Amino acid sequence: MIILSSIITAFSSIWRNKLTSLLAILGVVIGVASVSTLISVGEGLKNDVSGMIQGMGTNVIAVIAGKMDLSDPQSMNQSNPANFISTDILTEKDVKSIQENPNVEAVSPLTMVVGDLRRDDKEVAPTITGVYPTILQAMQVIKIDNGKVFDADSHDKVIILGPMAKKELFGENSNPVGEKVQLGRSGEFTVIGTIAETKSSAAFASEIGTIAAIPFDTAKDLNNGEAKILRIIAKAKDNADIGQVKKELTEKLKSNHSGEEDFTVMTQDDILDLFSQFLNMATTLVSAIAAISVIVGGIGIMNIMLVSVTERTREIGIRKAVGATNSAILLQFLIESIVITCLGGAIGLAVTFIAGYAIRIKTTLTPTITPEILIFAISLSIIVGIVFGLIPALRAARKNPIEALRYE
Amino acid sequence: MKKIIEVKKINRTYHAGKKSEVKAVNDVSFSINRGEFIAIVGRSGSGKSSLMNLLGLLDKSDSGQYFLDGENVTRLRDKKAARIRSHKIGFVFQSFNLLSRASAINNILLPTNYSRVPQRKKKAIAILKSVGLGQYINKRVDELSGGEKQRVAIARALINDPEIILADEPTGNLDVKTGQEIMELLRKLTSKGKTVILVTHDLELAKGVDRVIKIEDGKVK
Repeated sequence: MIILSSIITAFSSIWRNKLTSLLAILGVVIGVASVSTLISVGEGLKNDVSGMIQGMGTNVIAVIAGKMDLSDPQSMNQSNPANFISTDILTEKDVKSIQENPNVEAVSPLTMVVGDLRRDDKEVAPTITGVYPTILQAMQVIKIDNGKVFDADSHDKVIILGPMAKKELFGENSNPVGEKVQLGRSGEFTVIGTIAETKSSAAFASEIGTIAAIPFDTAKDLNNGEAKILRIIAKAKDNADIGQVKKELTEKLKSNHSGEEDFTVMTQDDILDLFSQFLNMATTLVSAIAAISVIVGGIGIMNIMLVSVTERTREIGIRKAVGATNSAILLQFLIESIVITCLGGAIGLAVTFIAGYAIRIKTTLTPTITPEILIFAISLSIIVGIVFGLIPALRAARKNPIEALRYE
Repeated sequence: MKKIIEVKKINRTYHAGKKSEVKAVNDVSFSINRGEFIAIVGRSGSGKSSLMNLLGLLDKSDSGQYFLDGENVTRLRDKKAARIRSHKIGFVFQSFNLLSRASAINNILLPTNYSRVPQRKKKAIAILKSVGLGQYINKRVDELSGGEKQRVAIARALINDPEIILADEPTGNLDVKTGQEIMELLRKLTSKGKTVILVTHDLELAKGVDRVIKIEDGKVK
């Protein structure tokens, strides 16, 4: 009975003091909306990353330079960060070793070539990478929509353009196969194919979109005969035990590197975990900053509740005279505070939905509002109501009924 | 007749400063029987309101004993005191002490938030009718006259069916005629077995009661 009557009292109190209440709950609205929106953006990113990684095809294995502790990316046992971009650790021997594993279907190194692409007065700076033609089997997300791929042992100056380079140099609906482009100071390259726009993750499509591929041996020629392998991408056979393949490759590469594990073999699950952990960390950090606004909102609630307790001193006296215990008064004011913050939380969630919609149509992000976010927002509102309503409620509960009844 | 209230040498001293203290209730002893209409009469500052607060369990005595319906209620915890206030005592105040923005019926229902009253709405309407306000059930009390407000206050005091009605200057803010009507209403309650304790400074008003307890400087005379 007391809970219901307290809820009704809270609503009538809010209605009576519309402007004051609105200003007080505004802080909670902003707090809940900002935290929920940031978490929903984080969730959306996680889904995007997951979609992108799954879009790479099944059983994909990536070998990167540098040792990374995948179970704990924050651990201090990681390699020097510079190793992760080193092109001197992975070798062609490693590529060969991977190729020899009976459970590996396709493998390709990724080697970096520095330089811009130019055509007439147009210039673009894609990530130019030297690969084997088997990259198409290893990373099924890369598809050729025009032209063809180069031969395995090609030293030709040929290039396959990604969507960005094609669009910038030739226009979106063009077919540049057979055309020439200038690669930095390395001379003219003939376009032999273009990569199709990927349908995977909107947020990370640019990863695929910004590449341009040349034959591995050509890249090696441009790098003065050095392989300069940044990563190795492989695909295990469909029926292979991916965990076992990972283990075998790690052992093999370790022996190639004189027993030193200065590289990391990652499966799709590892990459997914890594991104999830990173995104969780980033979301938590950003949300914690946004949570400051929740605290400011809570202070606003405490202020309005303290004013309410003072204004209603006589009412508290009356309630005590007709049988209300201290705890009943405490509960009443706490419920009122929770009702106000929940109202703020509900409006905050509505703002989150609107913001999510706006972000979705204006950016490449896809905020995802999960049931957990709804529960989190409601819980956050209730907690703010309890924490910041407690002092006013205690003050109300402790009022002397005789003095309260005399209050003018 | 069975005693409903018995106080033995109760004292209540208020400290107004470090050295100044006021003995508002000083060694007061008396008893009240069930169904009696009693007036506690005294001038302003005589200690009658302090005594009423003690009898209504809104305050605790410093010493002495207070028996209510045979139970020693001298030193009760807040929860128990509130429970007894809810079930055994109904208050009527000079300034009505109603929730001004609430309707007559919601004011009457207020005590039932803290007790269990079966069919409370039906009962509240019946009580409102019995105090002559059947037509004002949903009217906001700040739209009612002083006499009507006091009737609502009496109806509120009756909703939990208490044995004792404590009325502190219930006619103080009313004109003579309305005051008489309220007194008549209180008198009727004693005929229904209620014990009514009227606290007033007005000896004239106390003329119609069964017994008068005079209080002066915190002592019963």
